[in-house]
Parts: sequence; C-alpha cells; structure tokens
Amino acid sequence: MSTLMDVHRTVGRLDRSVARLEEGQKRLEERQTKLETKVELLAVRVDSLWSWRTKIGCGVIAVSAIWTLYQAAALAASTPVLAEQVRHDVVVDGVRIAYWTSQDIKPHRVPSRRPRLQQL
Amino acid sequence: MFLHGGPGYNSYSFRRTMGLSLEATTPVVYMDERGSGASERPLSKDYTLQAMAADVEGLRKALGVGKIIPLGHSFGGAVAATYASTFPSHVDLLILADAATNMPAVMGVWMDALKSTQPAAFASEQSSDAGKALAAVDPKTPAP
Repeated sequence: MSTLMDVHRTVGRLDRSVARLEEGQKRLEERQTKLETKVELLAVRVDSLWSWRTKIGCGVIAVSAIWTLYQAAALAASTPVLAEQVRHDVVVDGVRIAYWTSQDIKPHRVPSRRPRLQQL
Repeated sequence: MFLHGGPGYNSYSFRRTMGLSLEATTPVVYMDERGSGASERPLSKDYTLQAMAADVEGLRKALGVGKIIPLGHSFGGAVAATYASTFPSHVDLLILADAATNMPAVMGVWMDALKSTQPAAFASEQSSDAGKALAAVDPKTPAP
C-alpha cells in the first residue's frame, strides 16, 4: 500500500515538474517571439535608414572626400620641395651681415675668418 | 635680393614660403638687415636707411653681381628705395611690396596712434631710448 502511495507521490512530482517545464518552455517561446519581433523592428528601422536620402548623403560625403583627397594631392604636387638654402656671412663696415642663398648661388667672396663680434 | 620688414624682423618666413617659388625662376638672396635676425648689431648703433643701403651694396659687391633687383617688403621697401636712389646704376628693377617708403611719416602716424590709444604707456616710454628716438623723428622729413 505504501509503495503504491510512493508511486502516486512520485507521479505527482513528475507531473508538477512537467507542468513547470511546459510553463518555462511557454515563457521561452514568448520571449523568443518578442525577440523576433524586436529583430524584425530593428531590421525595418535599418532598412528605413538606408533610404534614398541616406544614399544621396553618403554619395555626397564620398564625392567630397574624394575631391578633398584630390585637392590635397594636387597641392602636395604643386608645393615646391624645401630647397636647401645656404647661410653665408659678409662683413660690411665692421658689421657681420647674414644672408641666405639658394644652393645654386655661390658667393663671390666669403670672409676667410670669423669677423669681429659686435657688442650685443 | 629680398629685404625684410620690421624693422627688427628677419627673412626667415619669406625665405621658407614665397622665396621657394621665386627660386624656381631666379636666383634669390635673402639678407637679414643689421640688428635683425642673424645679423649683428652695430657698435655704432647706426640703423639709418643709408647704413642699411650700404650693407646691401656691400653684399652686392661680395656676391660679385653687377645689378640686383631689391625686393623690399614693408620697412624693407624703405631700405630698397634708399638703395635704389643711392646706387641707381646697380639696380635692375625695384620691387616694393606693401612698402613703407616714407618711414618718418609712418613713424609719425604710429606715434599719433600710440598717443591716442595708449597715452599712459606712451608717456612712460618718453624717457627711454626708443621714446627719445621716436621723439626725434620729424614726420615732415621727405622720403628718400
């Protein structure tokens, strides 16, 4: 008799477990449904973002970027390379005058010794 | 030959900007005027336009060039004009860029502006060397 009662209790526990599992499964399915709905909504939003306005905007930005890069490249190509400018000194009336020339200019006469320093 | 402005500035900025473009077409010499940039200050404290023009002439001789084209910017224009009037036979062309060729008149305008906008500072500087030098300038002095 007691064995039959134990079986009944066990069956009852199993039934409750099955019921809980089914309830959990139902909640999971509901959650899945909600998530799927959210994903669909997100997809719709993303799809709406990629509208013709967005495409035009992206096109304008792309063209601007390409144009800017082109201008930068053209500027870099037209800017002269920094020439090697050479400093020289010449003493005029006891004053050392500094001057620079582009590399292809050779001074006719360069002081052979350092000129007398002027009092600063 | 580039003559910078100021007075008291130097040739660096022009040398590294516009000068590079000029060098593509003609030889260019950049001079730091006496007392400016890398050039020495004269013991005599002679900063007259005639002395600076003489410096240009000394540099021309050192370079062994018959004629030069002075390019004077701002105050350098006064130096270039003085040089051209003093040594006309050594000048091929004269280029004045935003030049202040009549320095006494310019200094007079500066003094008037300082007096009206900074009267206290102007009065306090009267006893300094700069103030005395400014006071000695006669705006009616003719341009070179």
